[in-house]
Amino acid sequence: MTTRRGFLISTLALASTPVVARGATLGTAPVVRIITEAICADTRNFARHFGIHSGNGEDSAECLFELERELIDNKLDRIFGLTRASTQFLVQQTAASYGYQTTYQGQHQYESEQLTHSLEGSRASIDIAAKRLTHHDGAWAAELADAMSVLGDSDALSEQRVFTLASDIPNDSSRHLVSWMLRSVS
Amino acid sequence: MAANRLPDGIGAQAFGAACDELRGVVGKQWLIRDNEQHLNSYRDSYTPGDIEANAPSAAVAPKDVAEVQKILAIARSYKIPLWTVSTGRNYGYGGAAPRKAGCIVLDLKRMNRIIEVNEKHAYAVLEPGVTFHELYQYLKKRNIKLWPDPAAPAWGGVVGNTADRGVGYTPYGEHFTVQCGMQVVLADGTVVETGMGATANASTRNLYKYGHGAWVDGIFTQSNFGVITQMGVWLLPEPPGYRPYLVTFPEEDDIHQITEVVRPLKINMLISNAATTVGLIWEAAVKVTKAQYYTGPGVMPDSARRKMAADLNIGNWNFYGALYGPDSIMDNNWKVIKDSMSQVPGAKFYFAEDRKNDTAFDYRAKLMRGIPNMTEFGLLNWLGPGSHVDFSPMSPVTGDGALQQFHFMRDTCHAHGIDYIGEFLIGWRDMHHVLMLVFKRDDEGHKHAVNELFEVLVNEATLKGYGEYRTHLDHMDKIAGTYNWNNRALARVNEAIKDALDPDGILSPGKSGIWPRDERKG
Repeated sequence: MTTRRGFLISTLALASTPVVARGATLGTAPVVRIITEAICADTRNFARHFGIHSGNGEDSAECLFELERELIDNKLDRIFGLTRASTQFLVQQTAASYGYQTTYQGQHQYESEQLTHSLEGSRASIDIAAKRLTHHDGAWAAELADAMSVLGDSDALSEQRVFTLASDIPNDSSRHLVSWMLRSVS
Repeated sequence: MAANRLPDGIGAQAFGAACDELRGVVGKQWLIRDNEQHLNSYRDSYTPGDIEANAPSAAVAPKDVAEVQKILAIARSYKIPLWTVSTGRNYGYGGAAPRKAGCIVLDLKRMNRIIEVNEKHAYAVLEPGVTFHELYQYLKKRNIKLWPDPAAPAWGGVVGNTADRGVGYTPYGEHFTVQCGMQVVLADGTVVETGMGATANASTRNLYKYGHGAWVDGIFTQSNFGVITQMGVWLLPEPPGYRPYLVTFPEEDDIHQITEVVRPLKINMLISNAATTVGLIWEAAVKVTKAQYYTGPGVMPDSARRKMAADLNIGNWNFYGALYGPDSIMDNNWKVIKDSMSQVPGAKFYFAEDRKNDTAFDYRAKLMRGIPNMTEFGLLNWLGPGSHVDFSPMSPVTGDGALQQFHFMRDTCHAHGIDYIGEFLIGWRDMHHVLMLVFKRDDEGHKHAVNELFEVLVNEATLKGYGEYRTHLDHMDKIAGTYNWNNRALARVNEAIKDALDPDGILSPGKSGIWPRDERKG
């Protein structure tokens, strides 16, 4: 179930929406804020999975400060994103002040007609995610989005899985994206 | 681990007792010691050096001046050093991390009241936790026709940025120039109002900077002589018109002629804002990554640079300025500016309607209009997951100076396999030449190269007569050491003030190379 609450997006801005993680029982479902950017086909696939569409042209700062307000109000259990590394840093630093830490992170790098995924997290979570990313039909970011619940179960960056797949490089790709999950530990 | 670090010379038991006392002042939630992840937000995650070298022992966040005074009393009692930050977002220069490991970070983020906005006289009085974003939103929501002058990142603190002598891009530009009135808590707990604020019932506290007698505001900037708890800043009245523009120039050595053309325009205030001459990669990197144009080793070759410039329709140099005022003034100023800049062969001129959906133009246009944003962080994706430290020497506004400085910095960067990513910020009579040394956060070899490069740059710049205006924690001693005329006369003045105002040495030891008496080397 996705509960959209508006989104903020522009060419390089964040798009975000809080969702309830699928598979969780009603009443105890963790609230997850999704963060992504409209920068390439991969992030758009990720956004589409959650029903996020290009929005009203606000700057990413707006989204970041909205996120901070939610953190102050203690509204979020997890924050899940597929973004550029700089945006991951902004969110990490903002959330760290409120007791959130990274419990999963992935790097997704295109080079020489290949796509390398490097996933870090709890063993069970990244094994499942790795399997799904290995067997996708090109829309790996949508698979990653669909794996949100299992990645949300990861509780530490204890294991790493690195695998490379043959892949065309999308025309608008920045060549490097990061995915990540932050969880409240306070 | 950060949670186990102690201040130098303080045992675990004494530190625990001090933390208990601090907790009693600010409440459990605002003394951060045991939650490691939270304390990690006070570490310098951007450092190219050893993150442990600047790791704090704890952080404490007071809500008002009375709590600041109580914290200072505890610090004096236990001889525990504090490291003051306003919002602690000064990444590239150290973030919230202390110069000296083991300090307790005195985090003023909870002191975030906008105490006054005076629309008639165009100023605001702020506590140190107020960000550029918050000030902008405050003005916007109340339809107050005043502009702040944001630094590039919106989450930066107005007071902290001013105290570190940061710059913005509106006609005000240099933040300390438009600071007026300060409240400071000294290490012994005394609260001082500077300038006109020291008079009874001060009616011009935030209108006239200097008061009577010695003017001391400057000694509380880039220093460790007190804790600034309020500051007055002048705000720009919204002009009747605004037109941001971009002029692109094709060749690297055009920086000589650009600078010669700009100087009289700036000094005569036809270019009325803090304009910038932005290098190719700085301009490109908020939109594209290096890997999209070059995946080989070392610096980006000229062929790839030219392809990138052509694709993005930008130049090797990109001049951003803005026109302000009624149409008649903007039209007249533009005619002079365009005529002057047209002297540079290949100059191309753009207004907003020519650069639709251009991320770089958009964020510059916002900054020059006082709208804070976070777009410039995108630059750090140039190499993938990146960090940066900045080398920021001052330059005269002369073609010879700019060209010499650019050549030496570019060539030194390239000799170390690092791309030149720089811009010139044009002030009233100077240029801040900011070189952003972007490195891969997870690549130890790359970090080492950046550190080595920094050393070379400082040494070479000093020989050529260029001093830095601001620097990262790890380089503060080195940069302070370059201000050594007449047997360190200036440093000795700073040390005398430090000894007089903070004899216990509890405030930000090592800030800008100023150390307490017991910790001075040599």
